[in-house]
Parts: sequence; structure tokens; C-alpha cells
Amino acid sequence: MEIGGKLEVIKSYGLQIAEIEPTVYKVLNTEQEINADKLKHDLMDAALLRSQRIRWNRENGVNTAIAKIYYIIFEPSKIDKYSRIAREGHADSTIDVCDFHEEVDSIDTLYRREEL
Amino acid sequence: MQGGKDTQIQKQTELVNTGNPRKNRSYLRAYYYTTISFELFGINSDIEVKVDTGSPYTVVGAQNRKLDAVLKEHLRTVGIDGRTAVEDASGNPIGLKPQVVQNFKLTDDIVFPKVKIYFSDSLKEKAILGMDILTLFDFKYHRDDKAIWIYYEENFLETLGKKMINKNLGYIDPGLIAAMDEFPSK
Repeated sequence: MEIGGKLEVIKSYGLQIAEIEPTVYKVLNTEQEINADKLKHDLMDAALLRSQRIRWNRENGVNTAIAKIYYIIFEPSKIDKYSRIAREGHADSTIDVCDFHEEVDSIDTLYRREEL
Repeated sequence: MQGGKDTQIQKQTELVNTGNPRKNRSYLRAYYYTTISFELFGINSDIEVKVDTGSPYTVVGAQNRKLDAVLKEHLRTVGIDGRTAVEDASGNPIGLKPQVVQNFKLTDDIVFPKVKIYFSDSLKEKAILGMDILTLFDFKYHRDDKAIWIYYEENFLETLGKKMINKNLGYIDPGLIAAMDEFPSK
């Protein structure tokens, strides 16, 4: 998706943003509570710096997080810098990125040595 | 709900399944993810963990993409605790780094002011919720609503504190919650 399309998506959520530098957008109306998971997936490869979840939204059996958004970042290398900046203004700021899980099945369980 | 003259009223809280069919195959019954929140080194994190009733520990991969860079750097300087060495299902050794995290939110109703969990370089971006935390409570998977429900009492922190082998730690260490009644008698 081109940047113009991404900005349209952001606006459709009622978020007002200001470009801080290319690929980094600061949200101006940070009191707005929106569905962070939906926004994240609609933007596809964005990172959100957002509040910790305010509540869950359940729709068709899927739970998604409602939160306040502070920054939207499209360049992964800039996440750390702005995570630090976001924390200065918002103590509850967290990093939220799309976490696609591997397609392959894996057995994640762990064993204590004494079990074996 | 259960309760009696000498017992606390037991409440139930949903371990919210945050698996999302848009990013994984969590619509399948065998996949169950939830999101835990905690604070470590003054930094908040919301981490999606896979519920793993086979794992004795709750472990967050030290390279999880939702961990702040400053937090990752702190974790790099923390040594591996050899006493809690474990293996994955393929027999590979997994080093664990114990950390006491603050405001650990398992569900909206179950929050630990301080509790010990683990971090691991070996788990990379993965994270699992293990039996150390889960078995502090009664829990049940309901097939109809495809959800795990946890049963708890209002004063669960006080109750767990009383069961700690070392009561002066100032935090809950799930590994030190006495379970001697579960040992087989001779």
C-alpha cells in the first residue's frame, strides 16, 4: 500500500496526525480510543506506539485491543528512537507491531531437565 | 460462583484469546494466545503469549519485537540462571533469565504487583504462558465459548503470599509456592 493510502486509512479512524519525519507520524488527538489491532492490520506493516490496552473489543469471536495511539511508524529502524520519545510524554507507551506467527507448526513447550 | 461461611467468593475471569485469524491460524481450536502486560525497568510491555500447559515456566523471548530496545539492552546484561535450565521439545538447551516484573496483568481482574517470570535469548521472538502462572489458579477451557476461564478469589495475592516458602521476598515467585500436598506419600 502506498503512503497516501495508509494516510487515508489513518484518517478513517478519526486520527489527526502530523508528519514528524518521513515514515513517522505523531497523533495529535491522543485521547481518541480506537481499535489498535484493526488499525495495525489495516496498515499492514506499521508499528504503533500506543497506550496499554484500555479494554478488549470482541467481534465474531475475535478479541482486539482498544487503546490510545501516540505515534505511527512505517520504518522499523525508527521504532526505538520514538519509543523513547513517546515514553517521555506517555508513561504507559508500548510498542505494538504485527506479529505474524510462523506458518510451520512448532511445539513450543519446555521441559525441565528433571522431567526427562 | 462458589463460597461459604469460611471461604472467599470465587469469581471467574476470562483469559482473553487474542489470537487473530488475520495474522495466524488462531481460529483453530488448538491455538490459544493471550496478551500479558507488565512493567520492567520502568518500561511497559504488552506481549502476546502462547498458552502452553506443557511448559513449567512463563518465558518471553528476549528478541520479542514488542520489547523496547532499552529493555532488550537491560536484558542482555542479565546473566543466565543455570539453575533453571530447560530444554525445548527437540532437546535443545534453553537458558532462562529470571526477572521480577511489576504490574503483571494476566487478565483485567488478575494483576500481580510483582511476580517472577523468565526471559530467554533462545526463544527469540516467541513467548509462552506456562504452568507456573496458570496453576496458581483453577482454570477451565470451555468449548462453547472457546475460552479459558480462570477462577480466583479477591484476596488471591494474600493467599499466595501465605503459601510462599520464603515469605519475605516482596514478590510472588511461582516456583516457591508450596505444593507439598501434591507429593506422593511413601
